[in-house]
Amino acid sequence: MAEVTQADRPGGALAVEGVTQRFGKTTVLKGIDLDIAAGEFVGMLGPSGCGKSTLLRILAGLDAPTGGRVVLDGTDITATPAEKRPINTVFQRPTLFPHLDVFENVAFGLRVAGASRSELNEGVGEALDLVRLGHLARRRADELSGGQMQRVALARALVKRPRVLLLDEPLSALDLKIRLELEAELRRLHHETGATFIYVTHDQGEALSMSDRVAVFSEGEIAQLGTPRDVYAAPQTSYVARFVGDANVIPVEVLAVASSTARLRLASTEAEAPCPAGVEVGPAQLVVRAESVTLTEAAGGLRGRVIDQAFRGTRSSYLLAVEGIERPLRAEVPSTAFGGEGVEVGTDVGLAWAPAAARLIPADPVAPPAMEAAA
Amino acid sequence: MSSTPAPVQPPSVDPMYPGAPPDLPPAEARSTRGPKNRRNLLAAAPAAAYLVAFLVIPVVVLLAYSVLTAGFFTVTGPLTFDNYKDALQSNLTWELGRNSLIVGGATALISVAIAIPVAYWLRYHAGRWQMPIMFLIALSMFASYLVRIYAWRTILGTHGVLNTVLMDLGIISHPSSLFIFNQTAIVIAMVHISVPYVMLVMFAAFRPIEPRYLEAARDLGGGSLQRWRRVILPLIAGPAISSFIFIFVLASADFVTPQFLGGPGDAMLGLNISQEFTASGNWAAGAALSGIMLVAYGLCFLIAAVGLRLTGLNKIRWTT
Repeated sequence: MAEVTQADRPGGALAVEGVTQRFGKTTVLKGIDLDIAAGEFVGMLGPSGCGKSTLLRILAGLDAPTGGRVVLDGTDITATPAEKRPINTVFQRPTLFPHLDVFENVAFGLRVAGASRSELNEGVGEALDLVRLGHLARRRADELSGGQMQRVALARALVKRPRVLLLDEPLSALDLKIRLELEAELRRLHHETGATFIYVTHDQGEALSMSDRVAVFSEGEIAQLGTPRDVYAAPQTSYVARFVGDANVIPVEVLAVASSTARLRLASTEAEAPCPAGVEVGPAQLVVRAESVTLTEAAGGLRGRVIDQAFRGTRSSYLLAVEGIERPLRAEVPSTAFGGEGVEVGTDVGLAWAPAAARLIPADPVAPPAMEAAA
Repeated sequence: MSSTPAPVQPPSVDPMYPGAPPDLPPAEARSTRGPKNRRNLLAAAPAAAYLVAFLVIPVVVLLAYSVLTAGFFTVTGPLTFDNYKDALQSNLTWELGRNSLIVGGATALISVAIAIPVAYWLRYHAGRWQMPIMFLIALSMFASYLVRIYAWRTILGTHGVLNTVLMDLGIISHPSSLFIFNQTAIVIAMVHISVPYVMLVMFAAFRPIEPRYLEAARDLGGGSLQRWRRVILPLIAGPAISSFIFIFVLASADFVTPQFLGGPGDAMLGLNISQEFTASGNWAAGAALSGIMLVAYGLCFLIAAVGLRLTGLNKIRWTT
């Protein structure tokens, strides 16, 4: 089955080297470089049309890239067809073969490989136990729920003992409850199989909760690659800050840089923020997460007017218009604030955050990519 | 559609995953009984009326003729099975039956064998040419059946297009009469007539097989041969076998093409039946032959239906 064998480690190390993909005049991938370690769980996060699924199809071998190489454990597999790669895929829709029952769907990959009867029974039994569907082996696809179908699709891929498992938004068509269950299931399967998992999603929650590392895609490029905490806490561009966690990105003017602190002009006020290396005096942007913003009744400082508010249980979210800042700012505060009454729309309030909670990033080179257009 | 809630068995819950949506009962159990069924019955009335008028009544009349005693252009009492006995004991029946089987079988087999790869190509590789080409295929059915048979006569005939071309190319020196007045010529013309119908059916059969199914098969290690064997052929088996029987019935009973393109020994059962009803005026004999063919076709259908049912390929239930 596998052309590349490395018995001691089930997971394969994958290297994507300068992969480009063009369809006619449209460039979908603009030279992707990505090293994935054996057994790693990598999330590829981005809005639809950012190229993440295109890259996944290239890794699966279903599409050939326009340029670049895909290397698995040191072997160039760019020209290896999908059916010969030790890489299997779980698609967005389960795509179970409608003329086969659950057992035969899972057995498919073993049958085409010419497995013996005993290998077949053992392999399928193991794979179905792995996704806890042994009791449904003789069901047809149309007799399963959406979550069960996707678990069969998982078993069908895992029965091949792939070195790399590709998951293309496998949970996006499912209800929230089933989605959360399967998220936990996927983490467990990743642990139990030891295979390398590459997970494509537009849902930042999924990407952050499951992945060892997250690659945030933007218009055919990787905007940022890092651990979920890193990407969340230290976005390097306004695009990443907005896409991961929907942070406030406020244009500011850096007035002075002193050791690790920068003084900035923020709308009509002045503020301080920790200054990472590379920030110079001039225009910059300040990233402040909605949950870091507190609302005060005190006068002075940065003030805004509540233009929308929503109660969300333990927390309430507010949208605030601030003079001098084009985009309204978002704040998520404990619902117990203001005596548990909330703030009415139209009220003027003060906005504040701990200086350490804000992060200074360079100004966007040109116009920032419009999130609305990308999503 | 509004409907009175029908009693269904309570859904069972997956013991391993109490939070998961309840397992659906099998499709059979899900079908509802009650008032909805009566409405369905009413909706089926036009189809039933059609079948009675155009199938049941003619067949009953035909079968009645076949067990009556033959007169000249008439049938009279008493009831008899002699018509069947005579037909089955006649060497001519078996000879014509063999011709019907060969021509019908070859036509149906070749038509389906041509239509499947063409439909496959149209479905997955024709791109924006898919619909224009489908339209042209449908258009070719507009040419009259007789015109197409004559066309083949001018192509395959002794002074026809094929002979002229071969002589111009210097491949043969004298016009050959090998191309026409034989079973091959009959089959060629009948395949030409049949292929568009089969192509329409097969194209429809490929439609629900979205490319993702073939991609999933590839991803799981299925090469081209395995994809055909384990995914495509099982999924198109029903329509393919139906088209085969449909064309087999039409071609094996044809009595026009053999007269124009066949040789003296190439007549088929259809011609015999036609002559019993017209030239000989022996309606009972013609009806008995028809009855025999009806049974033979019924058997073909039964074998196919049982085969599809046993393999579970009679009903493909697509999921999203």
